[in-house]
Amino acid sequence: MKTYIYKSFTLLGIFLIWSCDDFLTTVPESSYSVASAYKNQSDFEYAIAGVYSAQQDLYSTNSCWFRLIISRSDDTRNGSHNTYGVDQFTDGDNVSTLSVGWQTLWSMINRCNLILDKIESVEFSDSNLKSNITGEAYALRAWAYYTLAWQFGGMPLINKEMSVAETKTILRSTQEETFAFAVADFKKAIELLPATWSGSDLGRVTRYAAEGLLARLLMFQSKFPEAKPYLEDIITSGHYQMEPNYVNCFNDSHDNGKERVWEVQFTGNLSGEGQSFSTGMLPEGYTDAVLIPFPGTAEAMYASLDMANAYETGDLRKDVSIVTNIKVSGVLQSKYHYILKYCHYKYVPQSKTDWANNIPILRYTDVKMMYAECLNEEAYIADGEAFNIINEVRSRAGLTPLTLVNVPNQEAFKKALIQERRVEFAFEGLRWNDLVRWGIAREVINNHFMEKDEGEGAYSMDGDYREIFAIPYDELSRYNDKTVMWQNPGY
Amino acid sequence: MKDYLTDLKLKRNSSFLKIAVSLLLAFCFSSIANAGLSDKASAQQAKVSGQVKSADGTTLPGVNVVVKNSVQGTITDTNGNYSILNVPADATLVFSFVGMKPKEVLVGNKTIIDVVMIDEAIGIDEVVAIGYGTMKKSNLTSSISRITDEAMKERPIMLVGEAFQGQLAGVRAQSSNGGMPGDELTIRIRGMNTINGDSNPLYVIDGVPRTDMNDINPGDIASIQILKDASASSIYGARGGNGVVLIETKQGKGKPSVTVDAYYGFSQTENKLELMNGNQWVAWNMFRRNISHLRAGGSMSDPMSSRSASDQIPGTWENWTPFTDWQDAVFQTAPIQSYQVSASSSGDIGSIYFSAGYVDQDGIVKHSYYERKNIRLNATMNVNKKMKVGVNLGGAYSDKNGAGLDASTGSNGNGKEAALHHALMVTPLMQLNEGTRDWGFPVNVGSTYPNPVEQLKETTDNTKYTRVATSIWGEYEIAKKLAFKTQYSYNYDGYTYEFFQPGNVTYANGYVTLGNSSATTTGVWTFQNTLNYDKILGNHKVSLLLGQSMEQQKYYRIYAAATGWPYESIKTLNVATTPTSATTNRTTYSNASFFGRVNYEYKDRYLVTASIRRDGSSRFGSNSRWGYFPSVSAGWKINEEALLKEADWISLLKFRGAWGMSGNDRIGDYTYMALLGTYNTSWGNQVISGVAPSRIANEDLKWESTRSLDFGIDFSVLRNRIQVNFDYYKNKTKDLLFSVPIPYTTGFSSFTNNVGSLENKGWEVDFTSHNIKRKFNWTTNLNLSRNKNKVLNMGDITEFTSKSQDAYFITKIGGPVSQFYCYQTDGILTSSDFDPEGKPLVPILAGQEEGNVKYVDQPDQNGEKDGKINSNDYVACGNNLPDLIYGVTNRFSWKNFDLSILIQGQLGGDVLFMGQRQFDIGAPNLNGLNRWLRSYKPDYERIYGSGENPVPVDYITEHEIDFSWDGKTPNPVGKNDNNDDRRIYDSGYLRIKNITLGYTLSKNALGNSLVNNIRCYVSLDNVKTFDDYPGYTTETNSFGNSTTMMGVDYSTYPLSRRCVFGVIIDF
Repeated sequence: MKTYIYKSFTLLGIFLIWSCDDFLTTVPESSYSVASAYKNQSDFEYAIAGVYSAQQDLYSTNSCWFRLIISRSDDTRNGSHNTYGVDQFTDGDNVSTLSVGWQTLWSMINRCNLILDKIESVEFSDSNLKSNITGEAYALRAWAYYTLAWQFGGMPLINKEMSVAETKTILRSTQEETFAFAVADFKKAIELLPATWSGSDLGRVTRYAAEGLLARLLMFQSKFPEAKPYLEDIITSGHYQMEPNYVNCFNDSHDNGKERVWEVQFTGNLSGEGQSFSTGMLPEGYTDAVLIPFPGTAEAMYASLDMANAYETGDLRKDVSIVTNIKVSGVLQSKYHYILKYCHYKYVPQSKTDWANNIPILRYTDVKMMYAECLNEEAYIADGEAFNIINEVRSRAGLTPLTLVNVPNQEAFKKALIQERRVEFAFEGLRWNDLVRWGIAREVINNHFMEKDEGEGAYSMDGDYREIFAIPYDELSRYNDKTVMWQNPGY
Repeated sequence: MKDYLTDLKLKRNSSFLKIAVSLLLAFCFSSIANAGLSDKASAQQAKVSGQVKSADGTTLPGVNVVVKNSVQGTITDTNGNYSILNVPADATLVFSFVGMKPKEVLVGNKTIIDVVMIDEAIGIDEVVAIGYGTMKKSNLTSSISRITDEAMKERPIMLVGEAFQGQLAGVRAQSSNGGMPGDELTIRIRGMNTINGDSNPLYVIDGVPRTDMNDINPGDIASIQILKDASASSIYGARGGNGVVLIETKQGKGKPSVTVDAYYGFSQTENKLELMNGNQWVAWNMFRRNISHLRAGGSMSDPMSSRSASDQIPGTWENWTPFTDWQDAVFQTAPIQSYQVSASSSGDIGSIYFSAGYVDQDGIVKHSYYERKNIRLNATMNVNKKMKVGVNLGGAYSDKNGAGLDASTGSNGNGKEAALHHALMVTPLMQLNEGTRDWGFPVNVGSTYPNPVEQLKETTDNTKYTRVATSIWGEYEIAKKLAFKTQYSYNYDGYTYEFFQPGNVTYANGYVTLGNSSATTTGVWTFQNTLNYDKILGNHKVSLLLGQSMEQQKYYRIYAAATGWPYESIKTLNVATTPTSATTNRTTYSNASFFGRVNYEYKDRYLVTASIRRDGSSRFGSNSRWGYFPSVSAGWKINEEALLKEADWISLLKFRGAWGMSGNDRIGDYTYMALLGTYNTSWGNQVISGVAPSRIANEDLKWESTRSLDFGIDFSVLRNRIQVNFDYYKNKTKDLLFSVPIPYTTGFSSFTNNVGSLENKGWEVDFTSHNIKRKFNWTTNLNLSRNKNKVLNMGDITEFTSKSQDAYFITKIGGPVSQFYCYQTDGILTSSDFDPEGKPLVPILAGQEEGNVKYVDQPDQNGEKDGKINSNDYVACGNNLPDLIYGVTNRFSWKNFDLSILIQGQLGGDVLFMGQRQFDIGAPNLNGLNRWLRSYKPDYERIYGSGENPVPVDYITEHEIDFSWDGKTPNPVGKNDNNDDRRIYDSGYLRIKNITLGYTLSKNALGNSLVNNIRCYVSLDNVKTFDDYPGYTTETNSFGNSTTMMGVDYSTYPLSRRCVFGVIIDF
């Protein structure tokens, strides 16, 4: 009996030995693990592309962050879809698109940190590429911090890979400190980035793109003298020129052309890298194949009447930017103005999400206009370089040049600039940024809301605190610690 | 035997009838073999006759009289008499009758044998499976429930889960998609023991752990047992945390017999929604267009042509005919049919059971269906006195078409784009041959939804499964009472899915034809070895179990999608214009376990069980791959004590207490690792590959573990005529596998970690009474259970919200998981809520006006109200978990008739009627619920001046349409939010689930025929539901079985009322 028991336990013992830990160590067969990456040059090429991929998400759909930024300004009619009250200044801390934008910007920062932490110790066969990628990581991190700071205020400065617990100990800094951090990053990037990219690298951030964005950041803080040399450097580089035909600033036939200093890249051919942002501009049931190959979406955004009226008579930019009197579901819509700027195409999209049009972050015209603004801030010079620039922009739009008669002083010139920037950069997401930095946001927005089609005062910007958005509730609840991540005052 | 197997294999692909014939042939072969082996030669033979009576002296007809170990036998006639020829003298006669104790009598030289049979005490020696072994039910020390085969046999059951409904305390079986044909029910045992994980129980089918019980033929099931508390389920360790369902399929038994079981019937939708009919739609839209014109500054006296186009009322509307009732158009009366054949026998050589089954159910929504073919062979062979081997083979093929309604496949955005949803919204003006790209849309209605009938017809939404379950086992008695069992099994599940929707019926998508297809294969092998040892020493009885198991699962998936087809007659992707996606994916999951259990009984009255399992899983990090799951339980049968021994009326009085721990490892594979995701981008008009981490690594990730405490009383009196089981339990799940929301500043949104704890506590009562037990039998079974779910801790956070479309959910400490989270309403805004200038005097949402829904401005933590209505005013408003579930079954039998009535239901629980966001807002152009005709209408003449009344008075008078306010429906103009408590309904209900009436003809009545028994029945399902729900059904989970977003009805498939006629013939 005992031997039987003994034998049977031996038998079982054999089975037990079979089940060892090796059996339980399964390796992913269909995904790469982080542990095996960031080891050589090509790993970093993929890694930096991963950062651009996140940036692209901010611009790619009809409910993206970029669309929301456009809707915040007086460019659009309030009550458009997918805007969660951002256009009506009734937004609180629960604007999901802002929360998604916030999340995407932080994943850009995280991806840049990972690259910057690991690239130093890796041997590259192409040492230029190593410094270029390092520069890109700095530039993209700077852009993300700048974008966060002007919209949400001061951010926690997370400058390396951190554990969840460690991240939770980093307090929000001030907006000033965040901008300073971004400035330092931009400066490092400018040292490391190439002047141009070519071929299948077109669209990556260049030295001039970094300079232009740095200038935009500095001007946001009214640091005109600091911004000016960077703009000068771009203009004198000779790499850029203004597109002779305004529509080609947006048509995909001129993607990555001379006008485009930096733009978010998209590819058609049903590659999955197209955008649906353009689709989201025109209304559902609208099927005029000449203008757009697809019926748009139920969430179309409208241009404001105010915006449509801002164009001077004969301004060629109006018909490029806005379309009125179109038929929707067979009914003529005379009530609404729609945004056409992103719907000029050469490549015919094969689906709603297949637009190849790049979306501009920085156009050369903006570089020049910013430069003109810096010059004017320095001193009003009648018929000087600033006049030349603004008139070059106006002449492309088929308008008469400004003279010292109608722009007699520094203040008048600034007014002219404000007007010119509005119509030139309509729906390009710059207006809200401009209104805030000029300190006129509340006045302009409240005037806008008094118009009949904007509700005649039903809405208002009830305080300057609305110059920045609320920190998403979602994020506050994730911290659940108001001493580290607190809400912006007013919200 | 061998021939039979080859035969079976050859015929596997042939039609159902051929299989049935081959089964019958095989059956004949096996029964001859069986008889040849078991018949014993004998010299002396005689005729034996006699009469069988019951203890009270009445004669018993229909008693089985069989010569032991032979096929020889008969049945007593109407007077209880029998006679058998050629009975060997050394033979034993076995008398058996349902409800009586079987009796054996040695023949010897007797020629007349009269027998008195006595009532069997009910269920006293019932044996239940406890996982890797069995135990006498009366000696159980943990909470285990059993679904009797009565419950499965008496009525037609198409899906195994139907057998659970209303049958067991503590077990909730509910459809997650209404009456979608072929959707197996969701089973929840004692609430939800997890937050982010999967709450499905572990299924153990013929000893093999599985993740589901889909496509099993219910006719093949011998028993279902449910291990409810962790002391019972901890023998399944890391996977037992949500309870274990043990399913045993049938083994060959008794004389060779063949059973044919067939039914045929029809189903119809249980109810229809109250939509506007054609005239009502016209009246409503005249009103909406008038009001839109007035609001734009116009006047009712303006000529129609001066109105803006979208406000004009076409002249054709006035006398429009005919109208289409789109609900009628998409629903149908659908046939159901099922056919089964099985054969069963056992003898000295072993046993054999095999079967084939076919079911075919058309859905009540057109073009949806479910079809299934099953085949099974279970065989055992006694090699010698010590060794026994066996095989279980089960094959299933199923084919299901959801016609674009199937929530589980997700092809139609959780129901949002489903044809059934569209059917509630397209205008009755649209004709049956309108509403597609080719046919066009009704003029000037602006419908953006395609023709639902065409959408159903043209859409392919097809799921096919091929499932093969194989298992081979051997048992060897190493020494007396020391048995070794080994079992190797391999299960293969092959799944293919095809979706195709021609541009013709996908207007919203820009007429683009879309298709996708995927196939997955899942292969799992399991190898299990156990040693069982039993020993009785005087008053002591000990059983020991020692075991080991290993399992590995390989999963493979291929998915492809395309757009654009030159011709839509071919639906496969190869002819598509543009491929858009192609991926494959593989994962491996393995686990290994060791386990042991000790049962100790002293004098059959003091009972103790202890078990432990050690589990290792590849799903966890190397730091915590292994875990221990112990349990201990004890019972005391007081009735065996001297004190109560005399009390004859008490059959059982047992107190038991149990503590145990079990776990859950249902998080995907590799979750503990930081993986790189691919995040492509574009440079220079080319696609560029990009990568980035998709999540944070967590080498410490481990099981979530449920500790459960259970106290129970089992009580039986009057020879078990009344049986009561009562349980009180408290489960605490710790180390929840929680996808913890982390600050986005980390670069990620969540991190899978073991955080927090959750509690489920409740009680259950199971009550069975054999009220009358004579010629007329009446049995009642009642079960009641209550469970309360409470989140105790979530680590660093106190609450989190989830959202899909307009539906928000909140899970917070102190409450149950997944509460609805929305505005609280307080009637509607009346004119007194506004000053004479129209400025609001109470907080409102931007854009609200008189007659709109009034929202409550909730106080913040400091008790202050901010005077605004915004998302800070969302409050938790109920959840999907019921307070109490119950089931009552009454069974009656009289002579040859049997009748059973099953009533089941629940109290409490809520459901969110999500579809209302589109058809219950009083929208223009779309159709919707007709209550909006009676919506709030402000004093238009006061606002717009005298004579300016937008209500089309002439039209509504002519068609007798009531436009007066019903006192609750708000003003559709202005703003009413979609996420408020108006959409949340009590999901309590009482349902007459099933009524079955049967009639049985015994062999005697049939005369000298081949047939032993015939039972005919008629069965009605979902006879009547009593609830307060305006939708189709509350049995829904449109957002899938996600734990954090439960109870949403978004165009759920309606439940069907079924009427089925069936016949069961035993040969």
